[in-house]
Amino acid sequence: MAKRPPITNRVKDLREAHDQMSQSALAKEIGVTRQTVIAIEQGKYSPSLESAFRIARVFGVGLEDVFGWDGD
Amino acid sequence: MSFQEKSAWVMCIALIVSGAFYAWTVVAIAQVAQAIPPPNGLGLVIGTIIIVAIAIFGHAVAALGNPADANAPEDERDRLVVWRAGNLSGLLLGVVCMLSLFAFAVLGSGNLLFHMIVAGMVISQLAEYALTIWYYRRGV
Repeated sequence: MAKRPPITNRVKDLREAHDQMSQSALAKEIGVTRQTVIAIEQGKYSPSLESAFRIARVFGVGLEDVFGWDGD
Repeated sequence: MSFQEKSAWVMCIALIVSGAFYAWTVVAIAQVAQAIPPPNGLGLVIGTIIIVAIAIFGHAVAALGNPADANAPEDERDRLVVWRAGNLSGLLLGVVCMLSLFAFAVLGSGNLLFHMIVAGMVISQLAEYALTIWYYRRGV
């Protein structure tokens, strides 16, 4: 398997806590495809800084409330 | 599965079928002639038609399954996958071209040069689509 990015996220938890928002709805809000949201939630893809900020703004939280560093 | 991944699968199949057909024609002629055959124009034309036909049919089926996905523009992840897969396949094509030129310099066979370049183009494109699928499946 490809090396996972050293960035963790709580996108799925926040999305479900946000009135059970669908992956499609979140994708539309931040301007990516549903598959990209799935990849972010599964830790297979680290979004760009812009998309990360957009995600945090959708949930009304700070960037570090959504993403964490799991590297060295 | 995203439309881009389905597209990569379709093109993989198209290239494998077309490449196998062209390789079969070249090998068949080589076995009869007992020498490296000259460029097979008819084989290339038929191989191209095979690729185009499979690509059109495959993409139409993939798009009909999810028209919204097929019409959606590429996002940042799609662009990254395409860039990485294309970068590596380009390197592979460069290596094959260099090997082909070296073989020509040593052996002096223009026919061999032609077939090695064609094979290199097919292999590098196959690598690009395979890498595209890998990155979509395993992460990028």
